[in-house]
Amino acid sequence: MIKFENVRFGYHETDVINNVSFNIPKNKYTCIVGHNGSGKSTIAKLIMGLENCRSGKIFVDGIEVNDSNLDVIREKIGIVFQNPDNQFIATTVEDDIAFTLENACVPQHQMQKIIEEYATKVGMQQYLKHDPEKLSGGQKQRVALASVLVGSSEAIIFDEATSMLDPEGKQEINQLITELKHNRTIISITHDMEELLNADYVIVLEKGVVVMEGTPDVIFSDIEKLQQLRLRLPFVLQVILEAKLKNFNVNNTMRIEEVVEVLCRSV
Amino acid sequence: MTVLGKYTHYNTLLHRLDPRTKLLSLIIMVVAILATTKLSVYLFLIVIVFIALITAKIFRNSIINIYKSLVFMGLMLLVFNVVLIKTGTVLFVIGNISVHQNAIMQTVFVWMRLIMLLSLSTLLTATTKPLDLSLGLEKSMEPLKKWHVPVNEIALIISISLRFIPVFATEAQKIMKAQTARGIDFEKGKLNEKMRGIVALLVPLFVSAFQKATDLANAMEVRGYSTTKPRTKYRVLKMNKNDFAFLMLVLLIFITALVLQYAL
Repeated sequence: MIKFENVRFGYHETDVINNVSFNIPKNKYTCIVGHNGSGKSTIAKLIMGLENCRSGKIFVDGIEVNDSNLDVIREKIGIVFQNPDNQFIATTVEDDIAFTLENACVPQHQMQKIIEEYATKVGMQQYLKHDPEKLSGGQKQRVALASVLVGSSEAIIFDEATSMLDPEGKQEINQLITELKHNRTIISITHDMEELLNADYVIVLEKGVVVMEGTPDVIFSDIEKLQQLRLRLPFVLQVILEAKLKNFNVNNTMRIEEVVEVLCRSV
Repeated sequence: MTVLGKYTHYNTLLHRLDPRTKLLSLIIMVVAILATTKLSVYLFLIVIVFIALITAKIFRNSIINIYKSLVFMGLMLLVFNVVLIKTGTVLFVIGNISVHQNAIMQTVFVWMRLIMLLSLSTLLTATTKPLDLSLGLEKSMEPLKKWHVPVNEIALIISISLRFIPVFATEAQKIMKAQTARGIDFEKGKLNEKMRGIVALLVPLFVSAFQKATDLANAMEVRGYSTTKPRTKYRVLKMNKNDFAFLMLVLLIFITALVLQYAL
């Protein structure tokens, strides 16, 4: 779906993204992880054409991203940003969803129906007339998601979309992501390692370079490297690691139930 | 502090009118007020204005405070007029200052004008949602597009500013608390200490404003907004017979005022 070919990018002299190549599979749930300053959010900006790369090429569905075809790219891919307050454009929920429709020149008489449909999809149908100031962070992000979904059907990027939310809001958004991931490409830029367990594909960035890439199984089989990168392991893997130190015979797995079963049997 | 009346929701005729009707009526009434000079016309118009305020149910709350702020201004005006205007019959003499009839009349006129103008603009903002008002402005300014005035962009800027007023109010409070925790006193102290406090508030506020603006611009762009592309509109304004009836009434008032002024 999205392909980076030797991409370089930087805001000043030094490169933030240094000769990066990778391939994000279509209709899969891909996580891009890395520490602050690893360039992971910049990747999202490059895909959306908000920044132009210095060298290299970015392809979306075989189309090269450049200034002349941004419209096409943005019809395919939408993005939910980190801060819930800074992406709410209108003064009510319905007007905010309508903003995307207005930009896409959807005829006025069709808008009401579409708005209701997508508000229902994210569970915000009762809040159509509400002011964003009166919504919680999670609700705002749900509206942002609806506003993005009405315009871009094929892929959604979540740029640390849950990092400013309380646990409840985080849960809501993650729930929505799971619902959306059928027949849609989901790209989640995150530093929450637990999220990786649900992913189909993982790209690990460090200082603007791809250091690991593959399915979660592949990524988590190299625990040493993850520790070297100072990435906190998901809880399941921490348990397995500790269990192995205590001479329990557990295999590497990502399902906490399996670990519990093995441990219970051994005791 | 509500200088221009804040929107308060009631279901009155004036609240239900199309924003364009209200804008146009405001202009007609302002012209009527500024084009007339007779006391009889002013009495007539001020009665009309008060009737409008009462029907819109905003007479009691905010408007009284606005009148209070005019009292001081009226007194200042009176002093100036008494000293400067020396025409008309002398009403009485205080010390060696003679008070002329025209000085008093002039003050009364200006004061009545101010009351009416302020009441009418309050009436508009108190009965129209900010969003509808910017929509109404956008629609009314549509003809200006011929001269390449970016009408839609102006309207969008207005509605985004309105959307961000409460956001910045909260932000300012947050920053003030954070700076108070760092030892800045916003209330006490000499003038220069207060100034330092204001700088400590404004600098972070501006930084955050620029951050918000960048984020918002990105969000708008990725959602397909472009000033060069045509857009459709979700909100449409529709005038109904109430609007036309109201406009007729306003025109009737306008003509009556002119007749009272010039024909009688």
